[in-house]
Parts: sequence; structure tokens; C-alpha cells
Amino acid sequence: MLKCKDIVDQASDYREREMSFGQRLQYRMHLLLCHHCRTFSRQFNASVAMLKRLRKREDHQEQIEETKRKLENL
Amino acid sequence: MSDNNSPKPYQLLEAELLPKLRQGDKQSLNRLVEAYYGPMRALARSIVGDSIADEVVQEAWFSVYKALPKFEGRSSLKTWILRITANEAKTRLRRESRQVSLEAISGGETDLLPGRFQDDGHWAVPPSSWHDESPDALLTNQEMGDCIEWTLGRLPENQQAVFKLKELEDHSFDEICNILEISASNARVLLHRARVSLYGKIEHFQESGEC
Repeated sequence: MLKCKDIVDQASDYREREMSFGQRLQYRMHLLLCHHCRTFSRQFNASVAMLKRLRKREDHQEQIEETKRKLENL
Repeated sequence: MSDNNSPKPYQLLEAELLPKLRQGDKQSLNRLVEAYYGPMRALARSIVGDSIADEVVQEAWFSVYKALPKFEGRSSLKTWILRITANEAKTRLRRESRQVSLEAISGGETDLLPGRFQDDGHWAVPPSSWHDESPDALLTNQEMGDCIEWTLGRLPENQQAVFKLKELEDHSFDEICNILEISASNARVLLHRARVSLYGKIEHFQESGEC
């Protein structure tokens, strides 16, 4: 029987379907029975979805122009 | 719904530029610099830190320029360029006698979410409820976004590198293994560790309003 700690340890494998059918079934069974792990799973998935949409707000234009100039002179 | 078989924007760009690049066309090279400087810098920064990331990227561009005629197309141009960048960054670290092992799983023995579980593996400190759990709502909080970027910059370098390549640059695990020269299983472990650390920070921010 999986423990709550296993649910955290395997959350990405479950999310990305990197599990056998049996492992997946055990994982789902635990979620069905454990309110805290359902909360964790929901929040973890929301966090991953949000993190995927993070984009660095960096402006490298100056360095890009410098690199282009240096390559131009090669 | 997105179609996984449709070419990514960078693949279309490469199909257009590659024949001209092989002929030494500088304008095409400039477009490549425009397109890939950002991802290269993000990767270099995760390996060598912020202060010398730009130097590493410039060195990588010189290597790319020299090696372009030999590019065989066994991976995408982007994967190839990022691999050159990772190698330049690792060489730079070696030159400065700093640790270089992206393969090692930093903190491998430590627990994810330390202090949150009892000895029997059940929650000691369960997840708290959040005001709004939708990704959209999480994204609108600018302070939390800044906090996550700060936290990301302090993760072990190998976690940062895998996280940025997978989540921010949308590379497959095969490509990541090729770029960083690590095994697929390690890449998965490193990504999961980074995600759980960042989840922990989001949870903390949701509870306390502080980073």
C-alpha cells in the first residue's frame, strides 16, 4: 500500500504516465482514500501547469547585438 | 488542443535557415543568434551562474560558427547548439576548478518536502488549502512569480538546467539527455525534485504571502 510520501515522490511519474497499469491503479486508490493527497495532487498539478507558463522576462538585445557584431568580424 | 505532430516554430525556422547557414550566410546566422541567445543564456546561467553566462554564450557562438559546416543534422540545430553551450559551460567550470557533474543527483539522499511526513510516511503537516488553485490565478500574482524565479535560481544547477529545458523550452527528455549528457532516469528525478521544491515555495507563499 502506498504511503503519502510515495504519492509526493511519484507525482511526476503519475502525471506523465510513466507508471505501469498496476502502479497507476495503486496511486489512484490512495488518492481516492486520502483527502490530503488529493489536495497535494491538485495543487502540484496546478503548480506544474503554472510553472510551464513562466517565461523569463529578460532582455538580451544588447548582448545579442554584440554577439552578432563579433560573428560578423570573424 | 495542440497537435504534437505539428512542427514547432523553431523547427520551421531551422528548415528555412539551415541551407543558407551551410553556405555561410551571415544574415541567417544573425537570425539564429536572435532566436537562440535567450535559451542558450538560460542554460548557461543554470550551469555557471549569472555573472559569466554571457561570456559562455559568446564562446558557444564562436564554436557553433566554426562547427556549422560539420553539422550533420542528427538532432535539431537547437539541440546541437544547446549541447555546445552546455559543454562550453562545463569546460568553463572545469577551468575554474569548480564541480562539474550534471549527472550527479544533488541532494539525492534528502527527502522531498522535508519535515512534512511522519516516520510511517503519512502527512505530519498536510497541504494547506489555497485561495485559488487554478494556474491562471497563480500566474497573476507578480510577487509570487518573482519569488519563484528567485527560488529557481537557487536550485542545484542540474535541477535548474533540466527544469528550464523541459518546462520553459519544451524539450523532450531525449533532447535533454542529448544536451546535458545525462541519463533519462536522472533527468526525470532532477525535474521532479525541481518541481516539488517550487511547489513547496508556492505553498509557502500561499500560506504566508512571503517568499
